[in-house]
Amino acid sequence: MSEQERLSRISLENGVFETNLTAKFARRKPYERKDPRVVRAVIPGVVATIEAAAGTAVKKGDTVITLEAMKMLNRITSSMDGTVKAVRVSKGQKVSKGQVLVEIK
Amino acid sequence: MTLMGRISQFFSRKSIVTKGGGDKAIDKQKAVGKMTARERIAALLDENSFHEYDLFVEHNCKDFGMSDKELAADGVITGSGTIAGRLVCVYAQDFTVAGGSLGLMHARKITKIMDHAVKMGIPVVGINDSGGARIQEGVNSLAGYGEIFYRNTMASGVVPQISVILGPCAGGAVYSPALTDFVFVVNQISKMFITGPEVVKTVLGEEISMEELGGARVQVETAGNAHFFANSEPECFDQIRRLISFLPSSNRQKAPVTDPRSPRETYTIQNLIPQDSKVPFDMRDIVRAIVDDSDFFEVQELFAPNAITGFSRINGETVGIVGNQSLVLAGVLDIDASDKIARFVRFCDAFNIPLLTLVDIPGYLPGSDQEHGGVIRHGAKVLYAYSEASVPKITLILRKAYGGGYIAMCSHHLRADLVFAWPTAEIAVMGPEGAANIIFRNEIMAAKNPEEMRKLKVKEYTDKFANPYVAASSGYVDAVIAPEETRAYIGHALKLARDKEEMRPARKHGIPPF
Repeated sequence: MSEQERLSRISLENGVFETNLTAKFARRKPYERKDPRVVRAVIPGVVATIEAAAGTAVKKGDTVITLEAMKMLNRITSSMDGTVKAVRVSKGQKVSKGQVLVEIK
Repeated sequence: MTLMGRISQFFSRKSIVTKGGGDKAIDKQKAVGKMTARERIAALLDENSFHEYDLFVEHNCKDFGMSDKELAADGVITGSGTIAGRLVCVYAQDFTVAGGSLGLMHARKITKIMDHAVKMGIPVVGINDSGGARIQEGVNSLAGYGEIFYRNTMASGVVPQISVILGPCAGGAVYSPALTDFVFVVNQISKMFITGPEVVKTVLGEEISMEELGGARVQVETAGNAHFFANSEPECFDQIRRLISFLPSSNRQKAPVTDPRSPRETYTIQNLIPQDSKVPFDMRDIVRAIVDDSDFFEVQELFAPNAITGFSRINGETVGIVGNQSLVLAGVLDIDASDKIARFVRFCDAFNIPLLTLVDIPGYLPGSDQEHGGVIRHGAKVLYAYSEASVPKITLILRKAYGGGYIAMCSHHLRADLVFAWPTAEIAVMGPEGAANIIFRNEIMAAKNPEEMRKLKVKEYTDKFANPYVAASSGYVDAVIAPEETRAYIGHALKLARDKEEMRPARKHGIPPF
């Protein structure tokens, strides 16, 4: 395959261009709207306490989980008013960044 | 013409031009909830303090039928006035005139007022509300932008530069604000992006609204391009006036001094520190317990809130405050926090504002997103900015100061003038758990009950090293102080360092890890 044929196409404001893409560009993820009903770990760590069990009513900003990470008991808070639908982790569980901790309805 | 005739002709000419794009365009501007350019200037400045220049400037474009088109003041109002009695230069793009589009003369008005500001040593406030380049003027309009960017760069560190985004600011136009020191945005009104939602859609197939792509909230929270967020234009102007009150007019001056005031009694340090060092607390409360009138004006409050930056006064003098915020992400340094801190430190250094650093840092944020995002080069900015800064640098270590984070947060090694630590400080190469696992690995593995041995060794390490005395024994901490002595020690240290002089090797400029 010639160099020419291996090129990809990219369309910019001023036209379509043939070019090579970077690996980083190829891996890019499309924009995803944040879902306030899903509470995720903002930092990798270990679940220290579960502050709001399923069925608990919560307000925006209420702590739902404390996550021990970086020598700190981090408060993971709800981003909406509602009721805890499910807690997806258990006490002592290791979680990675972005992992779903709690679902709110 | 008679004398009176000439004077009345002047007034009638003036009244036409000051109408901007006319009643219809003004109504349109108001219908979308925006103030007019003239109203904005009036709201920002002290009453009746505005003096306008270049009102009668006209464009000189001949193409596309532009020669017989009149554009009032060429779509931008420029002049000078005062904020709380202090001089500022101002320009405001007038969206009612050809959509505030930027042509060559429009740009020349802006660069002229910027040149004045630099020459006279007074801040510039630029109000942006423009559809972008005036296409009819072609490459001349690009020349206009380029001239503004060049002036922004030359004025950087000479006079404070403030950008206010009160409408669209898209494409190349965004780079003038990006080159200035502080960017203000207003909810629902400000829109900033390089390429709009339509182009994003064609290129990436991504569906995203203008607000989600480059609205005010995105700019202050996610992108970090803007520093201050307001819910209305009047609130935004109040924020600008407040910011100006903390700043000197140029790098030739020091910030204005006010009457010293004690912190309000509602903030007492003793009540603010949790017993358990793993429990987070709000570092801003500590700031309020230390500074005059408990008044802390936060910069980039919503961006990288795991670090705090902002202005306060101590004994009447402006201080730039940097701190780690354990309430968010345990107070770690990450890419965004590094960027935020480094930029703030460089601003303070350029404008003779002393730095107070409040340390409670567990380390850097782990993760592939951080490593691949270049946390190494971004983190290096903090080291660079602090090392480079020659203003008074005072550091207080409240709790954690571990590893590279300890060094970065204005340690003695980066030439802090004085480093204080509370008895609660933990200054060590790493946290007790990590350290014990490494140092005592063999003993832990050989033990009958490894978990028990591990706990024992963690405690042993904690007792021996998780305190301020090891660092103090090497002179890396100048004084271990009781929390209630904090304001007195810091106040004295700032006085001591006020006329500090520090030499730097001759060079054209350093190469910070941008």
